[in-house]
Amino acid sequence: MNEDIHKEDIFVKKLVKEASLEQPGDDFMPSLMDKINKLEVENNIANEPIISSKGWFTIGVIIVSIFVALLLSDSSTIGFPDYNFSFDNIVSLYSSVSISKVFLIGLVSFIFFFIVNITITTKKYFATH
Amino acid sequence: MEKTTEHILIKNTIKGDVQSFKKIVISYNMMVYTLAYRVLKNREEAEEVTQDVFLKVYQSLHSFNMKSKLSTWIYRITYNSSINKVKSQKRQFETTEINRDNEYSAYISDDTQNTISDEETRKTINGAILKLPEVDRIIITLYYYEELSVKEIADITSISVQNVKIKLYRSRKKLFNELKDKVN
Repeated sequence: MNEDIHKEDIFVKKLVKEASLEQPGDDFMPSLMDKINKLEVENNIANEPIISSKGWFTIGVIIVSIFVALLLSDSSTIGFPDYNFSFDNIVSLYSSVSISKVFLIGLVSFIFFFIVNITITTKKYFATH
Repeated sequence: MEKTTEHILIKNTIKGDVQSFKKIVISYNMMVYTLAYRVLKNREEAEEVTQDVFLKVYQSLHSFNMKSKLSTWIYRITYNSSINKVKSQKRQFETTEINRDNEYSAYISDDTQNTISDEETRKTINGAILKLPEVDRIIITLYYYEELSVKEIADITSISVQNVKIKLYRSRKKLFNELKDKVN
């Protein structure tokens, strides 16, 4: 019994080795590597930060400048300049409006980030699609 | 491939070196393709599965455990992808019987012929292998060609060691009976 199994084992091993391996077509490797290269490019784009370190530095400088400019102003609130519009009633209405510094800093920051976000992300999106 | 070379290639691939991955593909593409073909019996589908296998390997190489054998990991992905493809095809055509002809069909007739010529030997053996059940074709190839242990095959196919041994015994018997009179 064991001898039979051993005999079959040797015979089948020889046959399977003789059958050898199948080979994919000539296009296989170029086509696969093309897909891999595309994947690699996509990975690089996906891993690339939307705002580069230089970009963040510039943003930081602008924000700090705004903060410093606002903090260095002498009053705690900033009023609208008293322009002499032809519509006297409107001018008199808005000249009494004053905005706190905190609100103004928040508003400026929000507008700034909104603009940065929209311009950079749309630019990146259209560059990759 | 040497294990240290393999580790270097894996690390380089993870860093984005496509050429290192190409070397891995060159080492394993024929075995992966053979396993896929022996399950699917169709060259185009086997090539498709082989491409998918290497894309999966490339994308998930960072999660590969360096203590394991890369070959075992790749063959497990190949086995699962091929078997899943067959299952999805069976679901798709469950009302019609799947009877695929392949290039070796002409060589697997039940007629007992006299000893065949050398150039036909390979095709005859492949024809006989393709007559085995799908999983058995994989087991036979991994055991006799790749010389993996029963334990490794059990790991790849998620079949118990005992079951692998049984399948191996039956397949060996079938191949022996089928080919003993045809091949020297």
